[in-house]
Amino acid sequence: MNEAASESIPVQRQQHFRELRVFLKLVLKNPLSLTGTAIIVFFVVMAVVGPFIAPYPRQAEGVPDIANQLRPPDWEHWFGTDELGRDLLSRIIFGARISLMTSAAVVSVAIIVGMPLGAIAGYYGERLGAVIMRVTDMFLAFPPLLLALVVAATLGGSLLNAILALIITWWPWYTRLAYGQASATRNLPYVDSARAIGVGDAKIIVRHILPATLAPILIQATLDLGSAIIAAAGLSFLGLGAQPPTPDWGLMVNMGKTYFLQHWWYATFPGLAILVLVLGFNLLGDAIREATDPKLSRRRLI
Amino acid sequence: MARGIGQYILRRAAHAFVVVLGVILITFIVSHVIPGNPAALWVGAHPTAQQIQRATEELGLNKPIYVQFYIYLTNLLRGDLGVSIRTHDTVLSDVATGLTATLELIISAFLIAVVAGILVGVFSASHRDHVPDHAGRLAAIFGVSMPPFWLAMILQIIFSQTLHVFPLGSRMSTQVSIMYPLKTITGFNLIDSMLTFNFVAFGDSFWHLALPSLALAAYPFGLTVRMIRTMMIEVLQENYTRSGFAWGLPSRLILFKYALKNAISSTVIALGMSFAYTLTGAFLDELIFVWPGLGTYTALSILALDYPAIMGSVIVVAIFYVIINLLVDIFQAFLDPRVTL
Amino acid sequence: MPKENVLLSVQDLVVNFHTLDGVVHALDGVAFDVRKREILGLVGETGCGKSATGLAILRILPDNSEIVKGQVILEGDEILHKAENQVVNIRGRRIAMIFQDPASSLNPVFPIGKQLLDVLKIHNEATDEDSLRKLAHEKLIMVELPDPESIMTLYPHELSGGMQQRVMMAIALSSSPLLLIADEPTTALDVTIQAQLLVLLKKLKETLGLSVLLITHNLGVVRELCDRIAIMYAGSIVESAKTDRIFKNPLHPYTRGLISSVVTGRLRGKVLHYIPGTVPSLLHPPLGCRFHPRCSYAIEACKQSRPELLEVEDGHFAACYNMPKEPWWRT
Repeated sequence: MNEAASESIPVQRQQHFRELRVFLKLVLKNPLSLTGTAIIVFFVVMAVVGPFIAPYPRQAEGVPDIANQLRPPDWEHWFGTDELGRDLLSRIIFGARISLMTSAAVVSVAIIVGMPLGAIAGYYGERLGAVIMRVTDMFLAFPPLLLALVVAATLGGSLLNAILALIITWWPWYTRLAYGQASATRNLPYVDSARAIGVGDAKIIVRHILPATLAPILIQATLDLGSAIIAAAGLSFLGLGAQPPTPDWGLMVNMGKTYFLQHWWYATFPGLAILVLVLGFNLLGDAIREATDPKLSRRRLI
Repeated sequence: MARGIGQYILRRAAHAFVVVLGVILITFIVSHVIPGNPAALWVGAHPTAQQIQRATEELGLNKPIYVQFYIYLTNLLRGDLGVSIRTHDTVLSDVATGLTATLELIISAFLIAVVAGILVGVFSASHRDHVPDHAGRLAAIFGVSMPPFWLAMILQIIFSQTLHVFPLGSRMSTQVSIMYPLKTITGFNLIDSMLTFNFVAFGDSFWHLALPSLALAAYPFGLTVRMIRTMMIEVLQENYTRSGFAWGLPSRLILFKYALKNAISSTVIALGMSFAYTLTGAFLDELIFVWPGLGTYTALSILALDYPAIMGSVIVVAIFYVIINLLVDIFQAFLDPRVTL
Repeated sequence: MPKENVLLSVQDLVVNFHTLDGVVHALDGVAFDVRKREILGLVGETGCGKSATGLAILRILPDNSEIVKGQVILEGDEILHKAENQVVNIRGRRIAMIFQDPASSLNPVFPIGKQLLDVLKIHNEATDEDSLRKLAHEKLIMVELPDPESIMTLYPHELSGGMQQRVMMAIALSSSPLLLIADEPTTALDVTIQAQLLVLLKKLKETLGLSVLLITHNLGVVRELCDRIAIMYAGSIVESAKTDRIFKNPLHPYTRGLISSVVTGRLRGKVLHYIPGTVPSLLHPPLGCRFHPRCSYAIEACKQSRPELLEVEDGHFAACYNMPKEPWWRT
């Protein structure tokens, strides 16, 4: 890796290209990652065109149909209906949009906040770095959802607050990741030489440190997109996330909790939707991780 | 025994202490942003202005915030976590009762997860890229992708409602607790029933523990398989594994004694983290199985804006988490002495 | 040469590696013999396949390797095509191996004693703790490690490089194997330690009646220590003979180039010699003799087919269609 660092930047870029091609080949060949990608694409499509193809769009938005309450799955309502008679399939379709946007928001903002912080901490090290990392450690000391629970509870239950709460919980992980990468990169020869010729700190951070931190963060982000969905669903399940009549999957499972022993479909299908979408992200993320982890190379004796 | 261990432990303990202080500070800050009037909640329904005023003074809510924090901190050191606004019991006693119940659940779930996870992980790694590996990885990914509360409900429907194999919830059936009352010694039903030779209670507790633990074990199982597999693959590529083969050691020995120890020592920290996930998963799990633990208590406190209780339980859980991490670090130092360098 | 004298015979060994970039033709018909009680030096540049040869003999090649064909005969017994459960009996028992980087070749989370005892347990009849312990101490003393009692309690990272390599030797030789494959045993160590270890190796060879396949790129070491030398280039043996023969009269152009490239004090003020070009990629090796693109003696035949390793003079083998006729001026 050190030899690569002292080569000029264009050669590095070539190497990145080659790595990208090998990486794509590995990921696309793997049936697991292919399935994962397919699942994600499926849900994204569902989020986009769903509202146009859902059988009962107005019910999905909350309009009740009491006459049909709690019907088991049948030809008119493939997934059955809830206690207000609303078609579950339609609500789940509409919910895809919410889930995807929620997790995208949480992960992206957490990265936007956490990555630069970590990069700065890793680059400057010493006092500034230590202070930043100490604060980060304190946030990391909280068991993952606990902080989100408390924040969401104090802010009140709403989708926006849940997202905010999750962002507050999630940013430290990216800071730590970025910090590790940044500290390692800071000591590489080409960064030293950049400093020696007088390149400003800000430029160095943006040009050299941040890109180095990008790779592990992106891998983690793919997996986190899945985890964020579960976390948000967890909050909704506790009533601290989206409020009725929003067709949020976690909320639906929560509402379904009261009825599901007699009406199994109510909690099963939304939860299944969560499972499958998260599965998609995890399949893809896992495959990416396997493909890019330099330690998982080809030499084996068993 | 490696030399640097004592110093390492001290360093980690000091670090943990600072972190705990920070946790308390953050929790305090966050929960004091609560809108609404805790004093009013304390008094109960239809409080008069006078009652609110008195409660405010009693609870010390009229003092400046840093004074409140100082008071809280000193109380904390004395073991006084305040009194729950909701239950009017001391938070300490509330938390203590809930903690053992939750611990019992978490520990059993974790044990299941780790044992099964190690077996599947090693199996997967040693048959890399063949069918057993794909099956193992798939199982792991399912475990990790499952919304814990949903899995709990599915298990309930299938095994409780339909097949009637396991009970629907709670820690012990009312019948048994009346006819074979369990004496509380440690707070862990399984241990207490063994200690008092109350085998009916033991069986009953075990029976009630089954579904909640299984539901909770899915996530750490997935994590464990993934970690062990990755670590084992890495270890199997190392030079020292090659040496083991060159020396003519049987592959079972190389896998399960040598490679596993190397893999585990790097995994231990991540296992500690998965324990933390189990902690939070437990909260949701408890709600569904009506398990009388800390999770239920915390959830109810949050919904009631009972801030001493919230603070108390959050701090206890967080401290617990920090201690677990500390123990994990120390344990890892014993397993892999290079860590202390 | 008399057949009874041969301990290990490698014949026409062809090994490929399947990588993401394609198939690497690492070994292309390697052939040499190791005789009893001799140290054979397998010499070549990095990447020529000498380590792979050692690993192939012990059948511990990585998972992506493929043994295309060849034979390895140990005391009349063909071992390259044996089943895994039979090969296990050979490893560590009849053939042992030590590696280049002793620090990473010992398991870091187990003390030395544990690792040594586990191996002794496998290879020896004695099963009780005490006799095994005594045996372990003997082995450590044999490799000239002081205070075996406390060494046994130490972890690998608490030992110096030289001591680690001695431990490796103790473990490898713990069952008195017939052949020790030493893959660049001193390359990672200081020069002074290097000398000590090589002297130890020579002594052990005498006392244990052992044969050694010494894999190295260091001509100086080889000259000191080895009875015979086999020169390897890009996957096959190009020349082999007794040590002094190789240095007095190298036949193959590569060998000549190799020896000329060694820098000595006598070259002061002269132009340094080097072999032009670079080692070929084994993904797409050149047709015919793999050395021909760099060889100043190459003729048409060299591009067509790979020259066989033939006995040119008594015990002196070379694989070349057009060996240089000029007498060798370096001594």
